[in-house]
Formats: sequence, structure tokens, C-alpha cells
Amino acid sequence: MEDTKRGKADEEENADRISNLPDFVLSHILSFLPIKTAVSTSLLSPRWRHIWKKHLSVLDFSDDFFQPNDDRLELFKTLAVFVNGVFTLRKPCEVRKMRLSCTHSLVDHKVCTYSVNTWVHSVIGPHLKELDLTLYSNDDDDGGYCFEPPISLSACINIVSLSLNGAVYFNLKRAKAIRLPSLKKLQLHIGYVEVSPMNALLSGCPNLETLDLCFYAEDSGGIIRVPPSLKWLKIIINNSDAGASLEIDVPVLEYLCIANITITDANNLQNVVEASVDVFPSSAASAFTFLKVLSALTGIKHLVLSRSTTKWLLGGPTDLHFPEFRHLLHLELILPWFNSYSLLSLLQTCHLLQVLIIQNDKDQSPLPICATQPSVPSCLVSHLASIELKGYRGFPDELLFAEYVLQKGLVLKTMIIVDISVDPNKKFDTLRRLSNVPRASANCQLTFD
Amino acid sequence: MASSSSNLISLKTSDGTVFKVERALAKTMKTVQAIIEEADANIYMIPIHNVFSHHMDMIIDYYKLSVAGKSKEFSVEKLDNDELKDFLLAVHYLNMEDLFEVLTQAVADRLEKKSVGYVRKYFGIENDFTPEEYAAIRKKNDWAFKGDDIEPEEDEEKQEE
Repeated sequence: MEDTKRGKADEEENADRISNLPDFVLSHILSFLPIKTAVSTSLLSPRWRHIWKKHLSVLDFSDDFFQPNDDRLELFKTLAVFVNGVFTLRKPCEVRKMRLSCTHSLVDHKVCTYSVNTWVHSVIGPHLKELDLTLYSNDDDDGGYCFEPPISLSACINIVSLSLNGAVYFNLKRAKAIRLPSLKKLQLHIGYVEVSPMNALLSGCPNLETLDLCFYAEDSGGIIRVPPSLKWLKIIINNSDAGASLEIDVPVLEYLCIANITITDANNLQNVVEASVDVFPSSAASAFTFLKVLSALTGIKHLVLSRSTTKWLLGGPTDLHFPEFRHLLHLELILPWFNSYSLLSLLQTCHLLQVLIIQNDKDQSPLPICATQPSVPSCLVSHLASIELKGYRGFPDELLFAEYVLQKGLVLKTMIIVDISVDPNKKFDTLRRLSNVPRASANCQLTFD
Repeated sequence: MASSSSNLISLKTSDGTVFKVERALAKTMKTVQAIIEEADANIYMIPIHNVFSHHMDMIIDYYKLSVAGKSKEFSVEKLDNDELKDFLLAVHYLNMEDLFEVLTQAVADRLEKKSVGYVRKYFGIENDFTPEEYAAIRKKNDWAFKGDDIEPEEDEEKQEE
């Protein structure tokens, strides 16, 4: 939409109708635009010179606005001049939302620390509804910029969404003092943090509904406790050898995503509808609890099990009781190796399964095929409509499994095999062999990529 | 003839067409609502200046979609820039909050990433800066334009460096 098609003659007639709108409407329009664009409207005409300054209740700043600079501090100073210009020239008005993103300009220098702290302080108050800070430092080990959330955050009694990313440090004393009674959504994608300040912060958010945590656990043996009001929970620990654990009692939880964390206790998971799990229980005790957790997901409809989980689930002793997933409709498995026996045993427990996606992208050699075939899983016969095999490696076990599904899948509509890494001849052979298998379902479509 | 005690309100657009709308829809128009409340018991026809019948058609479309929970499906893409401006003015006159938000967002979307010169053409804004004034402001607000690839100069703009 680079050009208006309107003729020049009409322009006179329609000339400047938009400026008939009161300033408040024009500045309202500008509030939907990136700040930099809004400020540039000051060049349109004398009247427009001041419009951007009014009703500026949404502030969105980023060091991406400016040309990249090897000298991080120089880039930060350019950003600071812009931000300070906006703050100073704007007409006083309560800020509802602020977003600040500095991904390549922060260094451990007074200018950075004072500036960011001042900007955050100037928007803190009962009017602030959303705050989003993305502050990446330049350091690796010691030194480097770091942001400490101030206790005065508690003055944001109406804040609904808080997102802190990057070089953020939580001091225990401060974390205990921060209270955010209206907070519904909290996102922390940060570096190393200890569990105690994390818990202190979480206990100050009694009405939290969405929690998105991604961090490096500092001490082992810490147990994270989340508010019982949660509906959506995602916890990803980046250091897989850390001993962080989680205790959850979340009766209204609907979505759960965990990686690299041990669950010490879990109650009330019956409302969880969708879950994604990437956990390897490191001891017999944690394995027992983990199985208990999986069994507690009685209402689950959509489940994703990643490599750590499947490695444990399918590689364990053969008398492992797979939990029954009575309502499971959609199952995605990311496998460490392919084993059709374990797969079929797992499918025995998912009677209503409609969609199955299997990803097998590791070249590990599969376990030997078990002699005794389990009975046909009931979902194959009555519900499974779609199956996708990603990362097909050409092992005989995989081919046999695919053939088995084609032969038994009474209601199968599609079988998709993608990301195939075998040589073209073998690929052609496989395709031909599979195409010739007598299919139980008349309208089954086989897609080979 | 509808009286204020029935469920339908009659609205007469500036091109003379009469629309009978549900009371609930009239309630979303704060201007109309104010007229109804101030008037005596029986007001039978409310004239709405600055609003044409094609505006009312779109307003009714939006109302029906939002009642069905589908307000995201409402689109003004088919309107060219001037028609959108007109519609925004009409909705502003009627003081309809939700639809107004939708339309301002639509205008903002069309402006995003465009140069200052384009925005002038789009809105038909006359640039009554003198070259000196323009240069002075550009220089004064240089902090806002640093690193910008979007230069405000267009063909008919004053040249400045």
C-alpha cells in the first residue's frame, strides 16, 4: 500500500479532514504506532508538532531503533538521549504500559544502571498495567550489567503483566518485600537464580494465572512452589544437571510444560488438558513420584513427551506400568531410539488417541525387537486417524511398525513420513513396500517426503 | 414511527435514509444515547449528521459480528484511505468506543513504517513550516531521527541536509 490511488484534484476537497479530529483522537492513533514513528510526526506541520507528546500512555523503547554499534556504550547513549527526550517532552500522563528492550547496548557502567533504574522508577505506580524489560548484558562471568527489580515495584498495585528477561538479579530480602496482588502473568527468562528469592517473589503474587520461567538453577535441593491460582505453567531449567525441584498443587491448571526439573509432589492435576514433559527422573524415588504425576494427569488431551522422558519411559524395565491416559487425543513422542514394542505397549493405554506424532532424530541403535507381540492397541482399531513419523531412519523395526499401523488402522486417514534420511534407493523401496501393504482403512492416504 | 418505549430506534443519516436499529445498538452510540436520555418520553426520529448510510451499514455489520463474538472478523481493508478517514470521523461523532478503537488501530496500521511525506499525502496535511522552521525542528529533534533510514524528504518537500 505504497501509494494512494486518489487523484490530485480530490485531494484538495478531502484536504486534511483528519486534522479536524481533536488532538486526543490523533494522539490515540499515534499510540498504536512505534514511538519513533509517532515522534517523527512532529515534522508534519506546526499543529502536529506537539500531538505526539499528548496522551503517551504506552511507551515502547528498543535499542533496535538505532544503527548497530560495536561500542555498546555509545549505542546505549543514543538510546538514552531518545528515551530521555520522550520522557521530558511528553505531556504528563499516566503510563499504562512500558516495554524496554536493550539487547546490545548494556555495559556495567553508571550511565546504564542509573538510566534504566530511573526509567523504571518513573513509570512505577498504581497506573502501570504492563511492564516488559529485556535487558541483556555484555558479560560472561563477573562484571557486566545487571538489573535488580526494586522494592517499589509493590506500588504497582494494578499491574497485570510483568516480564523480566536477561541480566536480572533477585536479592532475597527485596524479593520477600515485593507484593503484586493484581499480577496475572509473570515471565522470567533469566540467568542464574536461587530458589528462595524465586519462591519469595512467587508468594507475593497470589492471583497469578500464567507463569513462564526459564532460568539456570543456582543451588541444588531447592524446591520451587507455585501459587495455586495458576492456569498455565511453564518451567524450563537450562542446566540439566541442576537439582531443582517443583512442588505443585494447582487445581485450576490447564497447561503444563516442564523440562529438566524433578517434581517432588503434585496434586490436583486433573484439569490439565495439555502438557509437555522433558524430565529424566534421576533416582528410584523421583521415578516413583514422576510416574505418580503422569498418572495424575487424568484429564489430559494433548501430550508431548520429549527425549528425556521417553528415554526413561521406554527404556526402563519391562514391568513398568504405563499410566492410563483415558482422554488422550493427541500424543507427540520425541524418541531417543525407535522401539515398536514399547510404542505399542504405550499405545495400549491411550484408548481414544486420534493423532500420533513420533519424532526419531537420533542415530542411536535401537533395542532388539521383542519376540512377543502385544495385542493390538484399541486406539488403532477405533480412533487413530493420523500418524506422523518424523526422522525416519530406515531401521527394520520402523518399517514393521509402519506396516503394522497400516494393516490394523481401521479409521486411519493419513500416514505421513517426513525427514527421511536414507539413500534414494532404499527410500523408493520403502515407499513401494508401504504402498503395497493392504490397508485396513479404505481412505487412508500415505504421504512420503 | 418508533417511540422510545419500543425496542427499535429510528436513526436518520445525513443522506436522508432512515435506519431502524435495536436499542442495544443505539446504546453503543454515546451521542445518540445522550439525545434519547435528554429528550422527553417520545422521540421518534434521531438525525445523525456526518453519518452516511454506507457508514450505518458497516456499523450494523460490526454490531452483528460483535454480538456473535466474532468482532475480530470485522475488516475495513476494502476501504481506501479516504473512506477509512470518513468512517473514523463518523464513528467518532457517534462516540462508539469499541468500534473507534478498531478503526484507530486500522489507521495506525496503514501508517506504520511510512515516511513523513507519505503520511502528509495520506492525511492531506499541509506543510506550513517555512524551510527555516522545518530545518530548525529537524535539527532540534535530531535525537528522534538518529539512525533513521526513513528520511522525511519527498519530491515537493524542502531540501535539507
